[in-house]
Amino acid sequence: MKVIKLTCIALTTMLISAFLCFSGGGKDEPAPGVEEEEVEVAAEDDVWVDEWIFPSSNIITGVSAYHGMLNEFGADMALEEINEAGGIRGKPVRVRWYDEGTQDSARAVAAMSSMLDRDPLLVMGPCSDVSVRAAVPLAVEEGVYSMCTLAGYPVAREFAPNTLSFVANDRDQARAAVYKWVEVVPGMKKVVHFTAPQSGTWMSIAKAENSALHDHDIETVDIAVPYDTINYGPIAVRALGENPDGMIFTSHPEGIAKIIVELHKRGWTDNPKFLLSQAAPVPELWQIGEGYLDDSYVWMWYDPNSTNPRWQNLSKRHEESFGSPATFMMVWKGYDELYLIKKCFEDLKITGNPAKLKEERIAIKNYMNNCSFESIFGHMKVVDGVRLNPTLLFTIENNRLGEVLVVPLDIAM
Amino acid sequence: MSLSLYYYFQLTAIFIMLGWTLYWIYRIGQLNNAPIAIMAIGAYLSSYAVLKWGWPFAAAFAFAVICGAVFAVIPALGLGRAPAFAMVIATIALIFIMQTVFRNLPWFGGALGLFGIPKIKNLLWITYGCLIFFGILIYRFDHSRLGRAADIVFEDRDVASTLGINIYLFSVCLQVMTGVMGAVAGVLYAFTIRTVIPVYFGFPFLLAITTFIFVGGYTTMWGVIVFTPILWGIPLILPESFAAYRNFIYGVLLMGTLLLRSEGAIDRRFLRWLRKSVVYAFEEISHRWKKLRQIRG
Repeated sequence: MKVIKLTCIALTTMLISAFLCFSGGGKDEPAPGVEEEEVEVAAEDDVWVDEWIFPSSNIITGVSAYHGMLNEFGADMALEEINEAGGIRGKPVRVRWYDEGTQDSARAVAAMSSMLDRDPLLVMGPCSDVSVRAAVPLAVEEGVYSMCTLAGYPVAREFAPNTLSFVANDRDQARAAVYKWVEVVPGMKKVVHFTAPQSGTWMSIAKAENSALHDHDIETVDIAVPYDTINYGPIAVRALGENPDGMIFTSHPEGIAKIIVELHKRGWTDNPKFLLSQAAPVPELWQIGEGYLDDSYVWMWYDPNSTNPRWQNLSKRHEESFGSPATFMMVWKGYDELYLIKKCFEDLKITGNPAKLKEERIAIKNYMNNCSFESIFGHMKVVDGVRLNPTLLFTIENNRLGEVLVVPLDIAM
Repeated sequence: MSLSLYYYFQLTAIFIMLGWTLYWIYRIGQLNNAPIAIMAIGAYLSSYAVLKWGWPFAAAFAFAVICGAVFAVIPALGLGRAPAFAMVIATIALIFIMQTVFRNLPWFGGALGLFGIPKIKNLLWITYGCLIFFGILIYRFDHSRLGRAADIVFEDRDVASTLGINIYLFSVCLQVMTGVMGAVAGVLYAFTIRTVIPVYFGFPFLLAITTFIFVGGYTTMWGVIVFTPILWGIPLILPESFAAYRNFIYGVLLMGTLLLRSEGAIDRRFLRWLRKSVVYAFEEISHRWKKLRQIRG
């Protein structure tokens, strides 16, 4: 009898807890009387909330959790600065993190639905292209603006005008970078392209890079680099077997570094004929490829060597925490998102009043799609929901990004 | 119903179905991961039929399930006699093959996949209808002579053969049935998430489902029903600071269960005990009720 009683109590408790937890909880709504009063007093402009809470879908678990950690690192720094300076419209700011997992569509949808249940003004993230594809449609349907992150241009454009892409127009940027590379390293007739078929974003960049090569009548040979490759020797041998004049690397940084090492071991020395894509410069690349990368080119759409004091400050903190200067975009993405939100809310005088939720959401969407703000790298413009940046073509010097060429996008138009 | 609750119920039902696909074939000692690959077929074909051919959902559903079943026959014929380990490896390979095929077929969107899948009204009811249907099917199977035959095959194949059980045919039939269930889960998943990308149907999915079934218990169909909602809900219950420990919790639960209760939390012994306890409790209650009435009377 005792066992039955205990089992019944345990099962009932579990059931009740589950229902309470999944029911979405009580929404942050005031008592009816208070609301009426606030609406009256709010007189258009007064802030209704005591604290701004922004939900953010982030990669907290799985093999890409490192990205999420960097995202949180940058956001925490922005929160610290913004709150020290009086918050947004005089109210403190907080980010509530939701785990979207790594390439986990179900988890991404669960995270987004939990965020949307709280009736947010906007959502930060999701981060990976898998999550963006799975979860952003929910936000779009609810009329909530989504600041999606790593998703490349074609993915982000699917949901326009309801999303802000913190990745710039990588199609035009990739083409511009290749145009410049072909100009500074002339005479190439055949280029091997290392691609990552697992990633829709990288494949769309690779496609743009190839189209720029074809514009110059350069033949391309694509070689897929699976994430789980152990021995990169055969890939290097296959590439060399094509007798190429140059090589483009649009794949994961670890793979890029290992292939370059293998190519060098097999006699390749002409590094200027290597072009690395924008996601490459992360610690794995520098650590694995040390001594083999100098004189190669890397194209990016932000400048990790920026002298902007805010970036310097973040980079310094990053070095203190992680042992290397910040180069990967996730570290400044959360930071810039929060500063853009701050500017948007202050310019539009957002109140956070639930009675105005719909109109404020629309105002935020319209504002964010075409605006400018002080990003961590300086003044930045957003046009039609996409961040505008010129392409930057770096040369690698002493195992880090060195001299830079600023390439206007219209070079490849 | 709140959005998160809706997706919680919807995804839980799909995961239970997937858990059952592993459970059902494991009744004869084979661990078949092909339903995940067939799930991809169901998801892609139904989405394609709706998006490109403009078919109604019901027709796309039927088409995808039939194609899934037909496809399930191909590996089933080859793997019918395979020992458990060979089947695990071969069907994991099948998942990778399927991912690669869909990634490289341009009309399925390549690495970018298919998107813009329309929202289906009453999908939750359809999903739970399918869940109940498969639940009844498996329950009937378990309590029929086929279920008893499966028990013997699980224990000793040689003995089963001497008793006249055609193990090959049995395995092929079960693989096709689980393939059908996988295809149904795929269609429902595609119309729940409303985009389809090859990476959805990969190893992480398989690991999650395997955890649900091995923690819940692989000797009865009830383990998956009870433990899938709990395990899937853990990250939602946990405060945000603990969310990062989801995989750790899964790992500990899996290891703990395998060490302490190798057949999972809900095994047949537990069910027998539960049944006895419930009967005993009812008898006790009715006995006391009668006594009480006698006293009052």
